[in-house]
Amino acid sequence: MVQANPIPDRRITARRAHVGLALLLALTSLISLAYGASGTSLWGAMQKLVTGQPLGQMEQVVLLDIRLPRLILGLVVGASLAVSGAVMQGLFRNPLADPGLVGVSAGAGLGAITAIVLGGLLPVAFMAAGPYLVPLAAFLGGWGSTILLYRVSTRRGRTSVATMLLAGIALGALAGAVSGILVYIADDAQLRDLTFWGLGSLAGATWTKVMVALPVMGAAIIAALFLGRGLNGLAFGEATAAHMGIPVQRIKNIAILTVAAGIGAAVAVSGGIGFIGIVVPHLLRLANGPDHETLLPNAALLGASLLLLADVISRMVIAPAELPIGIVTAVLGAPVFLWILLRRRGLVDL
Amino acid sequence: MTLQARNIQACIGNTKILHGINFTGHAGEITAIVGPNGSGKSTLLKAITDEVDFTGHVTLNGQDTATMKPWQLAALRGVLPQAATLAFPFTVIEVVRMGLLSGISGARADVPERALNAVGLDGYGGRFYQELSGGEQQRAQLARVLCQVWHPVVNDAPRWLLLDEPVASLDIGHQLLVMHLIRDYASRGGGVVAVMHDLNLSAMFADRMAIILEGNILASGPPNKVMQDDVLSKAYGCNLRVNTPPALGQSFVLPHLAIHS
Repeated sequence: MVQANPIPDRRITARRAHVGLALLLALTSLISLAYGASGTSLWGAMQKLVTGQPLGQMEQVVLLDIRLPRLILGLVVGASLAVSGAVMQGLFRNPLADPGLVGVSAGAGLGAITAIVLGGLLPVAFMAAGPYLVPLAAFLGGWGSTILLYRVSTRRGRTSVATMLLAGIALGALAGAVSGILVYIADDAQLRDLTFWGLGSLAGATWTKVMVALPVMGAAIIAALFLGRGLNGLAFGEATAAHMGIPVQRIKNIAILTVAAGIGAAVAVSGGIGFIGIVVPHLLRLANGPDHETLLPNAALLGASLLLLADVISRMVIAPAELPIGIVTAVLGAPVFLWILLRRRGLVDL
Repeated sequence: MTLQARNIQACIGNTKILHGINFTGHAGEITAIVGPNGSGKSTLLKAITDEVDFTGHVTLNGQDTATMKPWQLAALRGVLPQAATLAFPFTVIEVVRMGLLSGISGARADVPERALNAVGLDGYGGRFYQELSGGEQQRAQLARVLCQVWHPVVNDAPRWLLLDEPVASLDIGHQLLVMHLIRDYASRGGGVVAVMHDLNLSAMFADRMAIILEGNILASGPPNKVMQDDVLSKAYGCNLRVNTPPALGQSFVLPHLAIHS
């Protein structure tokens, strides 16, 4: 009756995965710095640094002003998407939950589309915002829709996760409809902008964007890492979690805030990058089990690595042009995901 | 030291379930809450554990539970729900280890394994919880709750097991195993309050029984006092006959053939 091959202690394998994934991230970071459309060599630059020679201007611009901010942005966006996905899934007690479900992505998307299509109508004073108008609108849209949902589903200090899920679907549909109207009245150039924005890209990475987005996403990721125990408790349902000593409402508040901030900022600086938020936690659960205390840090590491890798591919495949990164994540990730599901079908249980 | 519920009134939806119940559980004893379906047994336990909105007061070892933090409550009482769902594919030992989640049980690292042994699930630790049978899942959850309040007395304060139908889906052997387990917990100084369906098992193991009917306490006290023909027949709406076989020395109820009184 006792299973012949019991599951070994997954706390140990998960801790080994911390180390392995950290090494993977270091490797993908190097690759991200080393490869790009320009052919500038990281090794050449490093040799110069070691031997005390000054860097050429081309090397300085490509490595320090193009690839490095892009590396940092990709790292923090990937980590943010994966961690937010894991937090959402824990909060909704559903491995299929995705930031897209609770209206964060839809709200952010509506904000971005509004800025792209109607931004030109704004008074000149707003033009100062210039290239940051779209990210700002996306962040405000994502944040605003989350707060609205949170208000709708909270009664007497208790947030109903089920209400939030359903209201999120409704709000997402509404945001989609309004976005549709804006798409309808958009001109051709705007349509092209919209399409590319929707597919996601790290191409616009600058130090200014990094400085603005890094604190928001960094704080969200760090806060989320402390949710592990609480989300483990919530896997048993809210009442049982409370009996285990979990401050349930506080955990829900922090989870919702971190996802709103993390996803809002990620969508704002990189557009709609799908797939990372749902697949990274899923892969890690299959490998090391669902313990959120190890899942969350591992998700941050793997999410960052995968997005950096996808970004390198997106700028190498049709260089010097770039493929939107959302296409790369979907084309590479979806088949891998399906293959793993088919192989280990028995373990995936709602 | 006691668990006291004073003047508990609770509604579910628009239906009033509890009409001002007073209930006391004592440390060192098993108190069984019995009664027909829908009488409010589980709702009383849920009011005691703050799972439903209620008016009234609940005190645990003399302290009002409304003033206590979740971790303080978790340190004093473990609660076994009637039906437990689990969202992700945890293994049995991972489930039981969650009992240590609050981090205040003072339990040693080997406690999860010992708790599994205590509920008769030794060797099941590496299996997936979702692949267990209903009765095995219930015992795994009990092991988790035991883990949380492993020592029945800490700093001279008793700890409490609050159990909603702990033996409902168990076979008779495991029913006895679990009842002996909680009997042992009580005899070492802990308090046990259990919602029960099996009157005979309750009479056999409990120190006190409280019969609930339509949101009020119909009778309460030692099993021999509560297990009376008229009390049980009224509570359950059918003809019941209580016997006390000399060999057993305790009350024993059997259904009577003429079902309605």
